[in-house]
Order: sequence, then C-alpha cells, then structure tokens
Amino acid sequence: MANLRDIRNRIGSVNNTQQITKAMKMVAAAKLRKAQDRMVQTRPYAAKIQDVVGRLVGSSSVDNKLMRPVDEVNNVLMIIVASDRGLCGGFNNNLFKEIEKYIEKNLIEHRENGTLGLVTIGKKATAYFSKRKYNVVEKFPGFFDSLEYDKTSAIMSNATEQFVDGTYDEVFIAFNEFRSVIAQNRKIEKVLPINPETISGDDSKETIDYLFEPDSSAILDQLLPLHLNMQLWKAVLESNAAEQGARMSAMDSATENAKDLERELRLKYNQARQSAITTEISEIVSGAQALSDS
Amino acid sequence: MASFQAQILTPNGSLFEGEVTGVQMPGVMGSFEVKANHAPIVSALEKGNVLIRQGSEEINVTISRGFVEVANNKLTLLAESVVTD
Repeated sequence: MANLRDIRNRIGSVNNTQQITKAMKMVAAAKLRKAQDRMVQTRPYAAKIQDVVGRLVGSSSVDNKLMRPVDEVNNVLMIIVASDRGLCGGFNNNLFKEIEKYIEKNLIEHRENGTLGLVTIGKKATAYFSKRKYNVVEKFPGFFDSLEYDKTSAIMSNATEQFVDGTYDEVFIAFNEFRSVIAQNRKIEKVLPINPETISGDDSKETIDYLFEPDSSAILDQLLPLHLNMQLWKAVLESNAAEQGARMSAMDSATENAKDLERELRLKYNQARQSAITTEISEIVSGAQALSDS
Repeated sequence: MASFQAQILTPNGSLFEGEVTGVQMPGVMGSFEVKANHAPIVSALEKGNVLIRQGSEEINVTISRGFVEVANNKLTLLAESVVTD
C-alpha cells in the first residue's frame, strides 16, 4: 500500500493540472468565439467577390493568365497553415500527415529533386517541415500573434507574382477547415492556376446587363488577385478557429481525465487511510491486552 | 434628393452601410460619381479617395485597390484596406 503522504501529494498535483487545463479550455473558448466572429465578418466581402468573379468567368470565355494551366509542371509551391502553439490534440500532426501522404502520392518527384517549395505559416508547421529537410522557402513563425489581412495578402500576392513570372507552375494551400468545435476538415486545395469550375457561380441567378469599366477582362485582372488573397485569408481564419476548437476539446478531455485520475487516487487514499487506522487500533488493543495480562 | 443604398466591405468586415445620395470613386479610368438610379456597372478601382455624400454631409475614406458593383440602386464597394480620415 502506497504511502499516505505520497498519495496526498499526487492528488494535489492532479488537482492543479486539472485547474490549469480547465483555465486553458476557457481561454480557448473565448478565443474561438472571437475567431468565429472574424470568419463571419469576412463573409459578405468573400461572397461578393465570389459572386462577381463567378459571373465574369461564367459569362464570357475569358482567358486570364492566372487561369491557364501549365503543360509541364516543374515547380510547385505549397502554403501550409498550421498553428503557433501546441496542446491542441492532433490538430497539427493530422494535417502534416495528410500533407505528407498527399506529397508522397502526387508530388514525390518534386520532393526528391527539390522543386517543391513550402511556405509555412505558424511555428509548428515551420518546425515540422524544416526538421524533415523539406525545401522551406519562406517561414512565418508567430504568425497568429496578430492576425492581419495585410500579412496574408502579402504572402499570396507574392505567390501570385511568382506564378505569373514562371517561378512556380502550381500553388497549393493546405489548412484545417473549421467544421465544428470538435471536428476539422483537413484540406489541400490547388489555388493556382485557378480552375474556372470552382468559382463560376450558379447561373440560375437573374442576369443583369452590367457595364464594365474599363472592360470585363481588365476587371478580372484586378479581381482574381483579390480573390486569391481572400482564399488564403479565409484559410488562415478557418485554421485559427479550428485550432481554438481543437484546443478546447483537447483541454476538455484532459480535464475529464484528470478528474477520473483524482477520483481513483482518492479511493486509494481512503483505503490506505482505513487500513492504517485498522492497524493502529489492533496495535493499541493488543498493547492494552499485553498490559492487562501482566 | 434621391438616395440609394451603399455598402463598403473589407476583408475585416463592413465599414459603412447606409442611405447615400452619391458616391465618388477613383476608377482606373478616372474618378467618377454614382448617383441614384445609376445603370448597373462593375468597375475596377485604384488607390485613392472615396467621397460618400449623405445630403449635405460628406464622409471621406481612402481605399487601396478594389472594385465597385452597382445594381438595382444598391452600391457595393469592395476594398482590401481602408483608411478613414
């Protein structure tokens, strides 16, 4: 039977851990709410861009340099959005595994001859892929300290420029999509070249005869980069919300586990205490017996 | 003066929403102003000043590149970033 004091100490430390994980859960819940608000705020803007781009792409047989598929894919860029901090369950690792599986399957040659460039957003992604000798061309650790649109649009504009000048022939974004507090969808999307089918909106909507100024292809030139910037911004916001959700549920189950552990320890403690008392009583009784016998 | 609905949207949320009498914008082909009952138009905008008229009152904002859509007496202006004066 373990020492009474040992068990008491363990109960104390389990209790402390429980309080910490509980507090972290609360913090994650508050941050999740904020992250969700930001997602909601961008929705009107994103919907409008989608709407207009879809209409432009659908209506005319436009030919934009961002939509032209390249015959021979030599260089590939992948933007990976993960988190800065850990303690969020399998949030990062599940995504990384999925990415590695995808690379193994589709981009293995590029990986081997070094033509697969990675842009890592978040400390965890940076650490993971640098360690495994991937060609990390740009890294953004600490990205989520202050989440600003300008930062993501700078990354995406840069990638767009590199696509246009031929440095890269394809650009992917890999991120965790927020599905619910406890569930994330891991997504790997090809953003460049733009696939017209993914953006052309439904044709059922009333068609309005717009004037285009200067003309529809010039507007598309300006709009597609905005659309791309929005894609990355959305990915970052989704990932941010998903991260907080994952942390919240991870901390919740940690709290539950600590509770179970504490209950078990308390049972053990009481048993040990009881047997110690029993031993004491029998010692006293036998001591008294010995005295009265003499 | 006839008024119409205008809305300025950015990736960080809606910046302005309300009844206006006119909006002057920096189009890529030059500055222009939209009044009520304007024909449907989609125009690209460059960096510059947007002037929103609400009767005699005026609101000034500076936008980066973006675009504007006008349809059914509703104006939607999208800009990547906005600086209010």
